[in-house]
Amino acid sequence: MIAYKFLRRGRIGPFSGVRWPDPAQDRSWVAANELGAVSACRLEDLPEWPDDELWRVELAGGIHVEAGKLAAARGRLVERVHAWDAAVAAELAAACALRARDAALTMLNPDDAATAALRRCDSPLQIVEVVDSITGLGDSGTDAVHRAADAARAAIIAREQPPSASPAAAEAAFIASHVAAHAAGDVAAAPRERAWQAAWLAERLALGPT
Amino acid sequence: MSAHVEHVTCQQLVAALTDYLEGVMDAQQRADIERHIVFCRGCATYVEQMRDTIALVGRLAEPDPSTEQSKELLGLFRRWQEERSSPK
Repeated sequence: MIAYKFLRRGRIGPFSGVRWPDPAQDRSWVAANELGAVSACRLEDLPEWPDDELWRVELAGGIHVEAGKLAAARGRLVERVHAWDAAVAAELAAACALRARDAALTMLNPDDAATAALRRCDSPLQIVEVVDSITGLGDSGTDAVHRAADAARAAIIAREQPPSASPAAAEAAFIASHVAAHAAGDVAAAPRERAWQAAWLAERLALGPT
Repeated sequence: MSAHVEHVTCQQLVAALTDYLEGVMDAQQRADIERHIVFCRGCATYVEQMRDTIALVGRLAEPDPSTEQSKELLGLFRRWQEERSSPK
C-alpha cells in the first residue's frame, strides 16, 4: 500500500529519530520496533502531521488504522513530494488562519464595527492587527477571536521563519479545527475542518488518495 | 482523523515522557503526545534530548572493581559494621 509520511529534514522520523533510507540508494525496509509500528498518513490524516519533508511511503505487513493514522509492520520510502516545502506550509497556515477567522465571525454580532473590520481582513497580519485593536466582544466571541489571532500569528511565523514553517502550519491547522468546533458547539466540526485542510493539501500538492 | 480535539499541554507531556519513551502507552495516548510534538518544537527538542541522554547513559560501562579495590571496600564496610554494633 502506498501512503504518505512526513519527516524532518534529512529523512528523520520526527518521533523515532530514525533516519529513513534514501530510496534512490537503498530500498531496504524500516521495521516496527518495541516502541511502536511504522506510521504513515492517509490523505485525510496529513493536516495533523506536517513536517519538513513529505514522502510517498510503501507500507507492508499488518496495515491498520490506529489512533487516526496508518500503522504497519514495515515501510520504505518511495519518492519525495517536492511540492511540499516551507512556502506551501506558510500558505496552508495562512489559509487556516482565515478559516479560523471565518469561524470566529459566526460568534460575533454582525452589526458590530469590530466584526466588519475582522471580516475585511485578507491576511494573517491584518487579523492580528484588528484583534489587537478591538475590545468589548462577547465572552465566547472573544475566545474564538483570540484563537483565530493565535492561528494568524502562527501563519506569520510560518511565512517569516521558513525552518519553523511546518510546525507553525501544524499549529494554525490545529487551532482552526478547534475554533471550528468551538464556533459550531459541536466537536464533529473539528474533523470536518481537518477534512477541508486535507482537501486543500490534496489540491495544492496534486496528491492522490492512498 | 478523529473528533478527538482535546490537546496535551507541555506540562502533561513532561509528566508522561517516561512512559512515552519506554513504549508503555496505548496507541491513542502515544498519538496524543506526538500530535503535541508536531507543532511544539520546544517539546520536540526536549524529547530528542531525553532520547539522546538515555541512549548515551545506556552506553556507559560499569567496570567491576579490581581485587585490591574489592578487598579495601570490604575492609571499610566491616570496620563500619563493627563500629556500629560496638557498645557506646
